[in-house]
Amino acid sequence: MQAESSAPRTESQRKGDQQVDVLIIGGGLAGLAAARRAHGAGRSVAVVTESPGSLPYTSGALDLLSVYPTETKRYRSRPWEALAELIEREPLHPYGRVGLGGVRRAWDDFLAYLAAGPLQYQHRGEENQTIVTPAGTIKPTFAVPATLAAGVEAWQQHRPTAIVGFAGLADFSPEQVVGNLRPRWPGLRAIRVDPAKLLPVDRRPTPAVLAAEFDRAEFRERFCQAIEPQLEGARFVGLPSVLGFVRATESCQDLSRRLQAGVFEIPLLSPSHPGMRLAELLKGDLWDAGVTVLQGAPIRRFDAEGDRIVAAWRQGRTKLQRIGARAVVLATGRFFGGGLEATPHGVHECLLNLPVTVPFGRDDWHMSTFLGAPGHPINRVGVQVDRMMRPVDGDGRPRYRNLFAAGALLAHHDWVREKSGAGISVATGYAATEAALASLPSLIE
Amino acid sequence: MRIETQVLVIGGGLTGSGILRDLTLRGVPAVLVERKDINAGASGANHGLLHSGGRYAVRDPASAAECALENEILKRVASGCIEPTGGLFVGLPDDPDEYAADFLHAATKVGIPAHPLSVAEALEREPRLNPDVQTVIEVPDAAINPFMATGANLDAATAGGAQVLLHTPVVGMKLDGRRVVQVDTIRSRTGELLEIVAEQIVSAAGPWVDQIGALAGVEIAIAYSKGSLLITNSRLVDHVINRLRPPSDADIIVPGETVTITGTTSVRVENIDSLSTGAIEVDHIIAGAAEMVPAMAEARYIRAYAGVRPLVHAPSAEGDRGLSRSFRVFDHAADGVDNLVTIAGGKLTTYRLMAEKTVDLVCHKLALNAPCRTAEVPLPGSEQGDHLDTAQRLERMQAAAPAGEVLCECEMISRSRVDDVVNKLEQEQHGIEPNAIRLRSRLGMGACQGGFCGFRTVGYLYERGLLRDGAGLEVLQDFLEKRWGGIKPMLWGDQLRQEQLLEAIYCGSLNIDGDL
Repeated sequence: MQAESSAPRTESQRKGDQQVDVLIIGGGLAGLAAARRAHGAGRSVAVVTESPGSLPYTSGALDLLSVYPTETKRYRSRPWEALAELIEREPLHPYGRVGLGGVRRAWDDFLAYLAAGPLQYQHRGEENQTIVTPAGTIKPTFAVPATLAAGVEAWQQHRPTAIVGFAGLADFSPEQVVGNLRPRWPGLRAIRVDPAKLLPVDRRPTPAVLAAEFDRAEFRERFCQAIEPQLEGARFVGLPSVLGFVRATESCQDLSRRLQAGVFEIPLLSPSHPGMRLAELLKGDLWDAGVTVLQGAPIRRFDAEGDRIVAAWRQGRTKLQRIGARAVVLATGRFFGGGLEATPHGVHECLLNLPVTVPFGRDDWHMSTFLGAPGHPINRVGVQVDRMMRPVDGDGRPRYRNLFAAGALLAHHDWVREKSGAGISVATGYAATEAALASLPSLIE
Repeated sequence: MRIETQVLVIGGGLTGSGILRDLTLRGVPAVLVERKDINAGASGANHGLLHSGGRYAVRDPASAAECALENEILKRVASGCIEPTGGLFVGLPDDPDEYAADFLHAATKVGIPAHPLSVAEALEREPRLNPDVQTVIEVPDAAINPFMATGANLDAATAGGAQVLLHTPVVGMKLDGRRVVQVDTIRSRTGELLEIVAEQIVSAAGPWVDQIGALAGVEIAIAYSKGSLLITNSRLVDHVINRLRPPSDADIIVPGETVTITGTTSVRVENIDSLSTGAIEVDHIIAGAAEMVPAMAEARYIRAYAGVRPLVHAPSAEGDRGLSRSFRVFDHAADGVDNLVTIAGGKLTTYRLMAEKTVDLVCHKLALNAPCRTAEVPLPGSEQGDHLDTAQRLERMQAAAPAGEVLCECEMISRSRVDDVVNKLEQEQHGIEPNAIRLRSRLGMGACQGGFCGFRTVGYLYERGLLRDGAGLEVLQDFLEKRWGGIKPMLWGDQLRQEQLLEAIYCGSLNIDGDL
């Protein structure tokens, strides 16, 4: 025993090695929400993520649930009613695992935190709201950052609105947005700005270049001068989501003031600034709260003692770095995030080879239509957990006593079709961390 | 509406296009009708392989000789559509020893320049070959872009006065005695009925020739053999690779410009209008390709597709692979219809010869003495004899497409290239939609299979005022569904990850699966 316990101590003295109470693997919304939940619990927490996470690929709007059941694609304006039905009917769904009360507590806490922060997230009581997309479609969601909020009102009231495009900016055509929506929204118009007149000669109008410029008041002033003559009484102005890297909320308010109109962003296809801003905010706040966020290198292996994981080994620049942990939350995502991998022969979980059941052959992984109902069967494949969010074996017993899972990695949901991605991530991230904290030896003892 | 012409050609694949151009060169006024878009049948679902004839040399010397001759002719007159990669027939330890000798003998006999290559030299020239190869024989196989070839034939024909009517299915024929006096077609996009009166009618409808024949009361015995093919996201070989054994499944790999195409299978099917490729076929093709080129096992596959070989010859004891791959020209005077000719069977490599023989018969029936000129007159784009050079094409396109101007990043298709295609579609009064642009430019044929550039192209069409109101949403949904059939069988690994991102964008962020 002496030798065994001295070995880790020697290792822990190696540069970069560390010991935490809760180790969270995954830097998407589920992992960051899980870390957020650990905040204030008096425990040491680290987040390890290989990639920057999936948030930059999202619109930054936070969905709770707006389509249920997916078989009939029924739109639900009141997500909590739909959630209660879902939880009643689908106990294995991640929402079913967490339960209505748990979802409500997590979601309310997370949204209150985001509402008070610089992105000023907003929601409309118990109702879903709808945002305008660059395809000229309308997408339901629950909470939006302040930069998207005026768009909700503009669409809802069908106010005279100008959609502004930048010549040369790919993936945003104001004519497309307007074309698709004008039959239902007659006061909608497309206008274009030539960014060559606003940008230095050598800069092309990419989202990053424009966002950096919109952070500057001087650029905003020139931009407003350029578009004002074209506004012709528009009460709202929609722009692609490039209103700033670090001061987007302020930039949006400033533009509204200068133009005497409600200015809003339309989230570009990925990568998208509203999603990036949310990721940066969450990570920055975690750093400030003393949570270590290690990005850019994968976990290579784990040490287990009996039915407990005791450490993870992270790829360092030259050698592996050991992170000792008393509890581990796995939030590595589905296929895109890298938590699951599919081969021609089946699906496996990438880090711990947790059991993943695919009860059908490869010909049935996907439906014969891309967009049809109820959604592709492969999307409901994932890691199954018990009520304490612990991954379980086929017989329902937890694989490890101190391993918990959260987010898209979980089985029995289809967030893409339910429009429930953020809600599942936040609710299960909170629930997994709560279970992890509860599994730790009491601080008082 | 009603139009009159001397010859009506039915079918807008490569054979029909070749026939139209051949007629035009001989000074015969002609109209072509196609029920969908160009290359909708086997012309758009093949390896893109210009055979040397080697594949058929041992079993089907007549076909092999046709291929050998056409290979030389097309490299001259259709050079711009052809990349003369050369081909390697590779024998592995399990392959029959005596086949190599039979192959060389048979190839020499039909005039195919075939040379044994040392294994060391073969591996140096094609490093991804299985290092266990025992025997390698080099032949002048080549890669051909069938979309460019059809486009060039149609361009040449229309420049010479012929008329091309796409999306115009034939729905009926009126007979008077032994003659078809009127062919009824429908303009799909307007629903308008178009009656066509022609002295001679040529059916080049591929696997649908029996349906066309039936409209004139003519029975054509035909069997359908489905062949599936897979495409990887990058070019893994620089030669056409064939297995040195009797033709079988999964024994050809072709470098198709930026990608690799491998196949095939041979499965009898009844329903030729809904072909699909299942996991068993996919795994079978990959396993066969990987025996020749091991990297094909781990390659990233982006698409599966299937075509139908119309088989017009008597059944063989050796199954469909034993059937002659030669073609037949049917003069339906023998069936009681004097002015209907059907061309069926054959293969991509012999399309020009098929057109020549067909038009010879048509001219004979018209009592015209006009010799075929398609073996001498180059196609548009091939006048200088320059071959298709993928690296050069990409460099040229990159130079012509400054940052921000590129719509399709996988294939480097710029706005100006799309403008050219759109202008042409407008001249042809064709609908402006991403699928039509894809067939004419390679847009959406790369790794994302149109997932990203489809959206971008719809946006661009709105910007140019070519799409209005809600039309673009339907166009986009339709484009995504059309690409799906070929993508669905290949979704694992990175390709599944990418598709999950696309599904998250289209359904999660854009809600185009919803109806709000």
